[in-house]
Amino acid sequence: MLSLTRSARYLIPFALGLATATASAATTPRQQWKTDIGQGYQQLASSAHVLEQTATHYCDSPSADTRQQLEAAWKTAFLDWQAVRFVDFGPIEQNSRAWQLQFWPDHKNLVARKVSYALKQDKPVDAAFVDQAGVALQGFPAIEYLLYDADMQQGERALPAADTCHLLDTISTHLAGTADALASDWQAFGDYYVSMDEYTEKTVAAAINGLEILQDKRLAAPMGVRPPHKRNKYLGDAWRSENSVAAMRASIAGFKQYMVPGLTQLLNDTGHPELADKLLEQTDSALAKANDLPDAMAPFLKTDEGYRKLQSLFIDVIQLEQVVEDRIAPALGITRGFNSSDGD
Amino acid sequence: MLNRRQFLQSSLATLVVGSLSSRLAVAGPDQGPLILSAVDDEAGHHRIAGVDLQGQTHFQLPVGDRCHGGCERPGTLQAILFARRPGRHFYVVDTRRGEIAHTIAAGDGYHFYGHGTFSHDSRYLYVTVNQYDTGEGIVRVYDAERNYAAVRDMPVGGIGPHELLLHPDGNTLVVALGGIKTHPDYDRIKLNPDTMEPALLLMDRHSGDVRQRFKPSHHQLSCRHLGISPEGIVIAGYQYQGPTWESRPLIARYDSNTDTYSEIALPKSLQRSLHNYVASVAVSPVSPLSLVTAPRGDRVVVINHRTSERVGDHEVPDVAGALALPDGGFVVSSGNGSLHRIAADGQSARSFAALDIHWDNHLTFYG
Repeated sequence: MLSLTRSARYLIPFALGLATATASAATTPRQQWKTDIGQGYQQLASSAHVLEQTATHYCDSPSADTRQQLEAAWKTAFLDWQAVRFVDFGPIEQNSRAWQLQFWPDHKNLVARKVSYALKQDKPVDAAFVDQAGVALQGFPAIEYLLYDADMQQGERALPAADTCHLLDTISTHLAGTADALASDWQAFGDYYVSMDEYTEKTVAAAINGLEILQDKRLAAPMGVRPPHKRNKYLGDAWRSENSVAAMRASIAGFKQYMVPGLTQLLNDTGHPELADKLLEQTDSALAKANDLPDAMAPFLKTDEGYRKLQSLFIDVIQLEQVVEDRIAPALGITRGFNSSDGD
Repeated sequence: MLNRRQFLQSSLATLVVGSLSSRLAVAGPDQGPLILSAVDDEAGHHRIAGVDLQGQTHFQLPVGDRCHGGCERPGTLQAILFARRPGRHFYVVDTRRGEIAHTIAAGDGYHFYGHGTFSHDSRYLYVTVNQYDTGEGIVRVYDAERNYAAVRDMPVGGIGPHELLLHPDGNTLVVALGGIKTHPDYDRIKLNPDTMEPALLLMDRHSGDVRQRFKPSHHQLSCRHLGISPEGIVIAGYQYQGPTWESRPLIARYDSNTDTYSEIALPKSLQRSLHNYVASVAVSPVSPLSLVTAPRGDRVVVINHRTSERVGDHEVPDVAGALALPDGGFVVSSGNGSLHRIAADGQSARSFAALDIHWDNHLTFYG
């Protein structure tokens, strides 16, 4: 995805060598990222298991309380995923895991189609069915559909109907398995990641890519920033559960928690402490804007005042992306390639 | 994904043209050989570009799809460029006029994979196609003498046929079978990583029979691209779908003279640096050298396809397409807009042009 220029490929190890000699850094930036991202995956695996257990508990004894626990567990695990969603290299690339966790955007409403199809089977679906049904039935959006979709809630198949509960259990088990594999594979991947210099570029590229998706797909698209300037809440993340803004907030917080420490160290090691300061300052500014907003996006699209608040978050996200792409990446000698991502 | 702002900045640099060897010099701007390729302009619009061997642009044709591979229609003014998976069109380019002569649609329920090849008499065009509801891979035959009417579908008995070429025997289609199931509803998501069955296939172009099927050493080594030497040595390039931190051979060799299929391993550090991904394969029509490009590793590797030995490797940032020239040299393109010449002995690489475009993964020679 990224390619260092010829000179920079030599420059970075040289600069790091100097820093090690003079400042005797205890860990390298990639070691820092390995630890931080690994913690993010552990966190996700842990909350995905809580979701699985809570789903079983709710279906065993449905009540307002257990339903609320289930919805809270879904949200916690979903937001833990948002926090590490920017990582697009390593074990997440295996078996379309990012798509398994969150099939999005879903322009053809496949999540609804796949869930409806699964509920129309003669017998309750098993793990093999979910394994083979494809990514639209395997992750957070499918569970969100069972929990929040308006039509779903009104029909006779609404939770806690037995077959629907069974599907909920099966999907949440699949999801916990995906999160487990991600966390354990990250451990297997770790030494390789630390040993390969190219991963510094890939990690910075992942940060830029994640911020671009946040800016273009998750914010600008539902806001109708581009022609035909039509506002459309359905283009955001998690609109069924009204968590579009909550998801973005979690991604910015995840960026701060799992990306910024390693990048700060890299900038300090290579003689760019002012950029490290700028990175933290702009991350905090974007996070503060997101913290000022409630979870749902739809209400903000309806009024000019609400829209201005979204615009204010949008501008901060653009500025954060620009700090990383236009200032930090060039300072580190990093340029991005065109064909190296998915050339075919 | 391209870096829009940085590309805009870099593309302010105007066309830089170097000189090629005099043997390649052409008489006039309209008569010499051309390199055709799918490109994106700096605004992200998809085009088919035709440039000469000095890097001078002859045309850039706007198209609706991001295109991928292409082929010359031998002995005519036409060349074909195919939409990239899951594209629904291929484009017949009139290389003299610099315009699109025909646009052919895949039809409901089908999409192209991005590659095709002609029969030696230049009448029949063989194109890899996905019948996507069943996932069945097909080689579709078009009759160029009847305005590219589709005349026949030949199932390959597998999923994901990608690049194909006609063997020098004139009868055998050599097909790289990627083994990866996709469906347009899911864009480019890979749907069957655990059950892939990639292969290199030999298919009779008349009967459609698959005569032979060679399996890579691992079921997730997706066989995608290939080239063939005049004496019938096939070099194929893999893309490994397994864990990033594993490293597997990415170059396969089939020798039709001895009917042997093998894989070519590279020294460990070079192997790892390719990041499990080969984009393009070019086999020289006049020498024993072949070249593969590895965009994720910014690297070009030259091998001797007769002996399977490595000849050299060169760093080319975001390297993309590859082309073997009649004089024994090679041209490779880069997503950053540059073109590079690899010497006929495979020992040196030098940039000779830089255009304001992103070259896609393949180059097609016309001339």
